[in-house]
Amino acid sequence: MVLVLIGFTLIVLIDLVPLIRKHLGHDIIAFLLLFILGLTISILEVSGVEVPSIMLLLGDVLKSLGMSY
Amino acid sequence: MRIDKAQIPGVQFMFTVTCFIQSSSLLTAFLSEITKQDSWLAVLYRTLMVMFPDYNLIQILEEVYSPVVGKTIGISYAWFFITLTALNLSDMGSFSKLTLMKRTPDVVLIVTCMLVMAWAVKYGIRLITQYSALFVFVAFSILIASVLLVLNQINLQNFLPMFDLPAIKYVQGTHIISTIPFGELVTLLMITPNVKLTRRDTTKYLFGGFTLGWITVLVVISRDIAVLGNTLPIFTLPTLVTLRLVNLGEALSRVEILFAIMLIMLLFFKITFLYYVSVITVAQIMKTKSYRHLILTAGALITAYSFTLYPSPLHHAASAKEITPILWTFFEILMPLLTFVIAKLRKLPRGKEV
Repeated sequence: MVLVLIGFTLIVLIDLVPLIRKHLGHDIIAFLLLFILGLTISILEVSGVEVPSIMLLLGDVLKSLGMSY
Repeated sequence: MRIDKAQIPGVQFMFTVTCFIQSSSLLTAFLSEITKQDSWLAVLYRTLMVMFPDYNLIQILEEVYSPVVGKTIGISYAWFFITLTALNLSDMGSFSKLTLMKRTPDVVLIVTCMLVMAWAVKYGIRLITQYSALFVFVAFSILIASVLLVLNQINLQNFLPMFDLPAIKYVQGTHIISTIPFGELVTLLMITPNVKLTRRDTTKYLFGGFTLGWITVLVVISRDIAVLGNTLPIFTLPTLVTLRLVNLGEALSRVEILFAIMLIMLLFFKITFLYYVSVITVAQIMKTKSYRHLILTAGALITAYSFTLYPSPLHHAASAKEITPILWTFFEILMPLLTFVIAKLRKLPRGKEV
């Protein structure tokens, strides 16, 4: 957990801080979208929470629709 | 607006296409059939590249479907590219752990690779594709050597009986090979503005790369069937098993290391390219000034995401056979085809010769 938080803090320091200084709104939003998703999945995994596989879920949906080999 | 203004020459583009197909051809567990009909996909992508030489895929979607609808479809493509990157990264981690570094945790291998790839992505498309010709040359050399080394193991009767399977199996095989190695070339539409080529050269280099990749797929699958026969479907990495069978005395055994080198090299190239395309796609959708500030955070997301996709390589191989071809058809065949038809009907791009 500590390593994950250190890693994400480094990413903020390297990439987000310069964006805030330059007031690049679109860049900040794009950064935060990716960052929040990545941080959430990482924390859940490190905490031992089983993150459902989107590929297996989509597979189940397709199978239930009769769309699989 | 273009995010990365670098230009790459046609030959570099051609070897990029070849490398891209070669890297998939080595994971042949889910490839059972090979047909030449897949070249129509290259025709479709080539047509879109020629129609919109200054636009990448997201810009094409916005032009054809309106900015809002185009952006919405673009978001689904961003998910598709990120998922492709994560899937290949997961493959590379599993493979490295299985063959080279058994005691090293997956996460260490994957994070280390991602950091090197992030470095390459930072320098743009020019650097990423710069070594594609070298990779193709090394891959072909190893491929030829591997065929020569297993000549004494080849049993031509393994090709028999022919055309003995139910028709649906041939449809499935064709569908898999269309979507997984060849259909993934849809990612090339994201670098169209970086490849300034005439209509003739686009055809020449795209088909040149496609043909070289196609030859690799054909040779790899034929060699594996000739050596492994009916046992082929039970292995997740048939090529690795084929090369493990090489035994020419004490000196020439354990040559599967050659396959490991080739696969890691080609997968590294493919993942770096997909990583770049994913970052460029997000940057294009969000209309950012530069893509460089998104590289590390996108890399962190892809790394975390790669651990959630499949619990094991067996699940991945099963899904690649049964589900993925159907899922990817939307992004690789239906959307490009629909976009082409609508662009033709709307006579797009306006003011330019098509």
